Amino acid sequence: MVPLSWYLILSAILFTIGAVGVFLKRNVITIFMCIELMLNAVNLTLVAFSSFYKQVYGQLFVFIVMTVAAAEAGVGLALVISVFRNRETLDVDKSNILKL
Amino acid sequence: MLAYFQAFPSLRDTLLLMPELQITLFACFALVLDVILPKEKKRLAARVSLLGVAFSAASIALLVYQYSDSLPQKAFYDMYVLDGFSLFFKALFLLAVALSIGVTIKYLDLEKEQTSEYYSLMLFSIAGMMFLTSSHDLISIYVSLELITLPVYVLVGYFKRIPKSNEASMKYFLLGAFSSGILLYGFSLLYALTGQTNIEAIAQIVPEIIKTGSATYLLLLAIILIAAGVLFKMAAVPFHSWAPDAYEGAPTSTTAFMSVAVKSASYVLLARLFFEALPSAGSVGSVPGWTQLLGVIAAVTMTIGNIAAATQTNLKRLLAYSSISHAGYLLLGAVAGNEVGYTGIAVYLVAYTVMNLGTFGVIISITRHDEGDAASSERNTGEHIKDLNGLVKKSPAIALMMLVFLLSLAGIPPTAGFMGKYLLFAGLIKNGTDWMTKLAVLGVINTVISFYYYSRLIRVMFIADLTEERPLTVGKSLQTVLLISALLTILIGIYPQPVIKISESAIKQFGNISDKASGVVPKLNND
Amino acid sequence: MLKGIEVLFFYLLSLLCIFFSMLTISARNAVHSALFLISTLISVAGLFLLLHAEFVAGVQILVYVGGVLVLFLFVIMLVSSGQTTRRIFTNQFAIGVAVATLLGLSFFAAISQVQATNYFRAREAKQEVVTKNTEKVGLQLYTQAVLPFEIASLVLLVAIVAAVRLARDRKQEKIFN
Repeated sequence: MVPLSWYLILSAILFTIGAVGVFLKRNVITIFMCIELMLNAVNLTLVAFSSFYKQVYGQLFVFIVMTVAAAEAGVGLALVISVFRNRETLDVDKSNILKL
Repeated sequence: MLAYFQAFPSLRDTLLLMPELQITLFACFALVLDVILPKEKKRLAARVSLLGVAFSAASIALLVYQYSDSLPQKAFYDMYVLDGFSLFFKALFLLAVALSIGVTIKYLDLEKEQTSEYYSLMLFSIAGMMFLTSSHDLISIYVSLELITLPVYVLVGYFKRIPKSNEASMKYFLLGAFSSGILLYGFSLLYALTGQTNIEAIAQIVPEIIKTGSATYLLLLAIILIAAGVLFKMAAVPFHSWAPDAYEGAPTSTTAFMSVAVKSASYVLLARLFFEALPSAGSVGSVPGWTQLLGVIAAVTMTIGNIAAATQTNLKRLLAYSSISHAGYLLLGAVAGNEVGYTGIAVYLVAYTVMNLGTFGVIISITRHDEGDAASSERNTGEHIKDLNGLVKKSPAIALMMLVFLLSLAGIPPTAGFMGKYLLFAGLIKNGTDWMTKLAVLGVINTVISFYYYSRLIRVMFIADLTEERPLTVGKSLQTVLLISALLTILIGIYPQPVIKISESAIKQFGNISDKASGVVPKLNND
Repeated sequence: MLKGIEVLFFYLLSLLCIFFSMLTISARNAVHSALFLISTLISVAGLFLLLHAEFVAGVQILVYVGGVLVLFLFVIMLVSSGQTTRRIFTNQFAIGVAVATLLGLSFFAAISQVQATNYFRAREAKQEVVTKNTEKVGLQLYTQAVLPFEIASLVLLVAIVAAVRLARDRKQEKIFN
């Protein structure tokens, strides 16, 4: 049996990579992909501990998270399309109508 | 009807869910109306939504009547709980959405974009908030949170041809999704620590972890991540950067809805997670816990929000920063951690709902839709402070109501805002710790700073000359909203006892209330 | 013997996971990013299988890889941001490094404390590994988790409305107005 903390470490690494990506990437779509990466880190922790505690609450949680992530992706990508129609760019650096 | 439901035990759960179900049903109904109704009749959808709100309010009254002695009622395998807290906030959300619909009718007319989807999405969001108030499990808390925010992303970017609205929506969406990712990671760590997703079960296991001290860092990390997610939703510093942009770029009616309903929802989240699931982690052994964390955040949030608001010229941006500072004041109640503080949060949220919606109502009433380029960001007048110039000469009634709202936002007696702030500060002082007293003093200083920029608006309204000659066009719906908000603002200010009493019964269930014995009401009577 | 293979697969999959996720955020081309993300997700699905969560692993492949990521690819093609960009990162490197070190340090502290005190070993459940995973998840989903399940269906409905509202163009709007 693989020690549980290894899974915790792996998910921490994935989460950190995702979170850093959100700050670093310039393209809106890739930022969104980094958020999906973070959600996957969450799912990994949940499933690991679900099988550790020998019950399925964690897996139920993962199922719901995936459903919501799919819905979120639908809305987010629709937004991407409508922003692109207006501005012809997805670069977060270039869209500066609103002051940072 | 009640007897019928009680005859079938499995239907009891559905009965408890009635307010949410009705809102959802009417949301779907409004959605269908969008296809059926001809363009000039779309306002009917607003009436239908209001009808849904009325139905839902009636079922809440029914539930109060039926179960007021036997709360809390649990349903759906303990995922759903009906208690005083959830009933209170469900009623508050219904009030907020009813007033928001009134504001929206006028605003969508102004934009010539009267569509029923708007009302439908608003109702879906409110349904999510009502689910959230009753959620007693991390899974249902997360999914109802998403039901709240997804419609709001769309409402922010509702006028998709306006780049400003569009990009505000994009920014809000990215940061919102990011913050729910962080919140979710906190949830997963909490699940890792406890093996439970139920709030009550977590509340039982967490004290053991603190006592043995074997996983305190992981617990602290979970708390920090969860706090970051929650603070993002309530736009507290340092997670506030989305708020001014989203508030400015969004349609004004959405800004009103967001600043009131979504903000209150984030405090419901705070209460369920911190007051109910993690009350024991207020301070983790010798290490500071969430009380100290929120204390620092509250101090920074109040100060930065107020200072930034003082430099703004755009009304919506100014109100965005003012709403950030209000997030700070509200956190003071959580820091105090006693009955007075929690009551303060509830009372202040009621006050904030009416006074803020009123303010946005006034802004919408002075909004002009200039003909011209739809894509230009400057096409709406009424968003700049100078658009308030000489309002009293045009409409004394509206100027007077604005005066009431602004005084209330600044916390000047005898208004609702004063009552709320008084309770929040009193909670801190009652707690008596040295740093909490200092925090209360900082709160008072901040109130003074905030009065500076609110008084600037008041001066402009009453003293400056008229710059915009065209008369105001206040529709019937907006008039009603303004009247109700102004009346409630004053009423709660001079006769707060009923609201305080209801709020007390709403928050009395939270675990770490140290001074259950002494209420607030008798003390107020002595003053 | 079997345990040795499990550990081997864990190492393999987690290395793939980290490798592909690094590539996801460093790829110059959005299409490449999406493909690397798909690889990451598939390796995470492999880890789910190692953890005896067959149902979730299947859903991960079907919903995430088959649905969400294909949607991503569609949108990348649609807005034609598939071309390679020269500058891929914002100039917020300082924030990125700060976030990474902060998260890294706090995870290190937390996990090493948990390791040192054997917190999890003390809490491990005694019974056997959950068998018939799909059956169990299915049963619980429609009993324990029925409320979030229903709310999730509302979330999906909202997503449909949102996508229709935001993404249809003028021509499509005329049909219904």
